[in-house]
Amino acid sequence: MTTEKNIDNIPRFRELFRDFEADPPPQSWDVIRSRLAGRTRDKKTPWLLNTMVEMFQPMNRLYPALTVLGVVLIALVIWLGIGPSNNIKGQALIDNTELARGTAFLFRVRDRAIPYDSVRFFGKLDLDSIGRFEFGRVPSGLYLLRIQVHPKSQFSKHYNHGYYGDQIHPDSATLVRTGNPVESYVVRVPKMVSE
Amino acid sequence: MHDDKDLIDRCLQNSPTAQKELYERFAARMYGISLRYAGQTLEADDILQEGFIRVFQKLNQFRFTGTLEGWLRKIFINTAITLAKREMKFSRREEFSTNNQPPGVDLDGLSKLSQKEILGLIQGLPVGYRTVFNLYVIEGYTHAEIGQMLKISENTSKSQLYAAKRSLRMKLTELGNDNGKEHR
Repeated sequence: MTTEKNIDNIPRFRELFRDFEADPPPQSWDVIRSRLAGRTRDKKTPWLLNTMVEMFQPMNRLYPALTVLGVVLIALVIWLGIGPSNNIKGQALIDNTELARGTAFLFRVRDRAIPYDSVRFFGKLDLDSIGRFEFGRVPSGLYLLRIQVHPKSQFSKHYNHGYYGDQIHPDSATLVRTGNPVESYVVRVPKMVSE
Repeated sequence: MHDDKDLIDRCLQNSPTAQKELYERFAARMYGISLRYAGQTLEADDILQEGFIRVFQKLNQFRFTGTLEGWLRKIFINTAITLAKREMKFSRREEFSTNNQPPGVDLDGLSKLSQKEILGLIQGLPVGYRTVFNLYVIEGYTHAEIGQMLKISENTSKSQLYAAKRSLRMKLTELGNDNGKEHR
């Protein structure tokens, strides 16, 4: 039977190195202290952010995969941020007078062949005091623009709504196409025909 | 033990003075451990820094069931293993090949060397050999325990140890030859 003593001088190694001491580099404590100070500051930040920062620390085994994922996500956010978007703006008038009380509606047209039957609501805005409206970050495409006169407006007795192209019926409205940021769409609300 | 408790309590309150006191009390011994597991001084510095960061992070988990130094020692060994495992991934595959030859290497030449020279020999070992050698020979872990710690088989641990000893013997022989030439 073999013992530790006759195999390879193991006790000699243990004796030499079990309590082995060496002077650490003088700057070590400063580095540790500054890293500890950083972590203390981190405690004030939200838990989720702290966890994310922790996962990206070089000691973490997820570090390489998460770094790649992080870069991809950042690139995606940048791409979405600078991706194509448009503004659709204009003014609502009634007999060349600005409509001060009303709402602008924007509908996205999915199928050009059946514009009215394929619309999907995109957004609505209250008109300002001189009848202006502006929809921001509108994805490229075809849209139907509708102006609704407010029931308490002075014009509400004879005017109800109108579509761009000065039409009262959506199937005869002119569709708005994005891509012309300087154009302002003027919608003249037609007078209701009394029966 | 009472002093330890007071020191730990103050560290847990993020007292910079207490943190520095704990560091100064154990830095030399923990740097000794770091040097054994590291191939270069820079790596040892990394282990020392990372180890103390972990110590301060996990200090609230110390249960006073053993000595504070023993607890620190475990954290530093685990830190060294974490760094070693990362290094192993990028090391040559031959390092992990098993070798069934039985160990029987005479390292009596060690008695003629200084502690610094022996440390240099250990540091010169490839990372896999060095880690297993430290864990088995100096810390006293079994091959089964080492296998679990490093996520390798027990046999791989044995062969790594064998290879480490063989490598040390070769280096000792070279050193002996060199010394002999100098004397002539």
